[in-house]
Amino acid sequence: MNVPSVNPLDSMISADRSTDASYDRIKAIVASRLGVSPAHLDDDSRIEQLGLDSVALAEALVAVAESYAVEIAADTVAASFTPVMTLRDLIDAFCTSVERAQSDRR
Amino acid sequence: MGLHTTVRFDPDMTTDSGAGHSLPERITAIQNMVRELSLGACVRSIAGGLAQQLLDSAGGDANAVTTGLSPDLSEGLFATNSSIQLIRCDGMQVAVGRAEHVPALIETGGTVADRVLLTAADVESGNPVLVVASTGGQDCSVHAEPNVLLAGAGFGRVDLDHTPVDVATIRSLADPAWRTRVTACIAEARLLIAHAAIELAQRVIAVTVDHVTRRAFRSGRLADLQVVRHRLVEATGRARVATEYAWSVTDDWERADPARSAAAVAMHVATAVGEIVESCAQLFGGSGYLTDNWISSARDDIAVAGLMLGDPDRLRDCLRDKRCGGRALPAATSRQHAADERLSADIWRDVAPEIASWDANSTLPREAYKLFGRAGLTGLTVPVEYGGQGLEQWQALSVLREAMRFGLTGLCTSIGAQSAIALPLLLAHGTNQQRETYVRGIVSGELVAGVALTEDSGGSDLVNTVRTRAEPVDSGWVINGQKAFVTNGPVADVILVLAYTNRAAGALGMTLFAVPAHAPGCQRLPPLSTTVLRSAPTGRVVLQDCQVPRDALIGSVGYGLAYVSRMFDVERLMVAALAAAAASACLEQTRDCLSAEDGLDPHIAAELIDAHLEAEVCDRFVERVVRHSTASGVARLDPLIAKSTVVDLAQHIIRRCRRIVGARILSREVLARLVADAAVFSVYGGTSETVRDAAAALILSGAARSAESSDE
Repeated sequence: MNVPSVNPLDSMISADRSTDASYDRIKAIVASRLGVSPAHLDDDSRIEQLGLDSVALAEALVAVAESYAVEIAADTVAASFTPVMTLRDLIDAFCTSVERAQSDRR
Repeated sequence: MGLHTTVRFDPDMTTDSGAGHSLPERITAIQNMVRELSLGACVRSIAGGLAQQLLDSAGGDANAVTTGLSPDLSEGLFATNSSIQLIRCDGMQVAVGRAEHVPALIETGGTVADRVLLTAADVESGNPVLVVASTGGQDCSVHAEPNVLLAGAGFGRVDLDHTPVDVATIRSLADPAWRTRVTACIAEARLLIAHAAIELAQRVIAVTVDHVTRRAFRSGRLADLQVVRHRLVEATGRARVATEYAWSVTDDWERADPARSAAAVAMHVATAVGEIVESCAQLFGGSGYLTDNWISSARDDIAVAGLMLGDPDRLRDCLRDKRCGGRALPAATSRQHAADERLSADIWRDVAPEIASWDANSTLPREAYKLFGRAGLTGLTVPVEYGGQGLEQWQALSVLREAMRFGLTGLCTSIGAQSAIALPLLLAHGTNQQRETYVRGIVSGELVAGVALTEDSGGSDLVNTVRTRAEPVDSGWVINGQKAFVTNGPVADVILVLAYTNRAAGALGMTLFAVPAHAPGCQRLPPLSTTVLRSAPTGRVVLQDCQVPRDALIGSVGYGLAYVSRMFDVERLMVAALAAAAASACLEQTRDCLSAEDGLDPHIAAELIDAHLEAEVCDRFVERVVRHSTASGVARLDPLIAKSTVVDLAQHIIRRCRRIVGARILSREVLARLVADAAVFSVYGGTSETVRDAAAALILSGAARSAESSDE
């Protein structure tokens, strides 16, 4: 379910943001959720090994959505998450979600 | 050998003339030395540096001089023991006596330090003096000590049999300025050892994390066992707390009394590192005792580190409050309240007399919320444009800390549910209308907010315990479920409800709603009768086909748990701050209680000094984490550490107070309330067990170690 944003500031904020979902930027967001530097995260680790449980993932998703000022439909993303997916796959999934949300808005 | 020379501690760095090296830089050098060499090497360097500093001569070989100070002067630094007299013999000044456990005396190859700086009693003047004796002569014999003390530290014994001393080097400790300088140098050496010991303890934890993640156990790894994970969290917590305390003292070094500061760090670190290494070494089983296992030597080194830091009884004496005269009790920690003066003690003094009647009814009257609103207490961190005070989080905590002196844990909990959760949620994710209506109303005290997360099936693991569901309908949403232990629930005007909107999506299937209390189908039940937090109205909220409009939605669908979860960091830090403040308040009460009596058992006095120190340590940790979090985003582990380690330490202090006060607690209302309410610190805001589970996941993923290195 994609609920329209109710925050009128969103459109103003997004004007200042880069419109392309970048792998490194999203990785930095995930790293900050874990309280580590992105350099300490191995992209091939399974996300469960990194301590990213479902709540942490939800927080990371919301942080990504806020960073790009887009609405990412939570339930469609939730369906693609598994604890054994790699960090790389997770970040790619986030990238795809951001891009889809951006094109929906355009 | 190359390694040995490259990281050799530079003694010039400890002298004033070695300008350019700040205290933090010297600490970093010592930490590197622990990592690359050993604690023994650190001790040797620190001892050599101290001697150089005291001699005030920057030149010379690093190992040319060392220290043999008496415990009367050094509070047992390096465990050195010396009993030496300076006498006049044949027109010369000669030293007679012995110094044991002198560090840096004997080099690895057997080379002996050229000179030893010693404390001696000048028989003629009756004053203690510092003298320098040469080890070369036949009147002075040097013996290596069996290697029970740190390997590499070069411990030895010096026997002086009428050894001539250079008259020019004799410095009387009766000279106050010189004495002050000597004391400061010794304090600095003690601080460096403390930092070195913590560094070694951190390494022990890192090695242990590595061990338990590799070690097979049954069908998995040792690290899969909850008991192992919790033990690691406890060790990591002790290390984090000790590290922050040592650095907070280091940061204040120039402003505080160095002898007192160093003694405080030494006392705390000696206990903490001992517990850390025992806890970790246990996880190695029998192999932890094999001499070729690094952990066994680390265990031996850390056991000795306590001795290096000094004699606990003498150190404790440094913490006695001199102003107490013979009463030998420490002063209550005097704190600087950076928060607005208008917000400090007065309001609590007004409120405190009312608390008994509020307690009796297990609730707060509406007037109380309005009073808090008028005093600015509810919106301490809310921006000024919404009627708040616009304070930083750490300033807000210092206001609540003041309230704890009156035993107002329940009140702080009621205010905290609004200020740490409801208001930040509405400010961060609410619509303009929600912010205008609710935030302004709550800040002024006209409205009361409750936060409804927990259900009967539990509250710490929301993904698996929430049953409440919200279904979309044409007019908005229909919510069904029951929420338990809703703080402010019985009197709330608006209740933030977490409900599943898509059960299959798990953590991404929950949504947050601002439910008006008058919404059809929303029923607030009367306050629960509880034994703790009596004045925080807490109760059940029943939602039966509860209809709310579309604009009750907070933020986005599916994001509710993430929003709430991010607020938990602040909540956990707040609970830890309350726990630390409750411990300080209990100590203050205990002190008052005992002051009424004549004579104080010395064991109890000692226990109170130790407890005061621990309370100070807790307080500093929380304050530093909160301050740091406002600057650069909080390290995720620290709020969890605060909620588990600090709460444990604080509850331990409170139990000690209860034991010391005994039956006298029956006539002490504030103390009785503090003690009763303290039990809940390990339950609300996530139980200690859940919090340790979460912390263990971070530690085992290596996050903790990486966070350490990125902090530096």
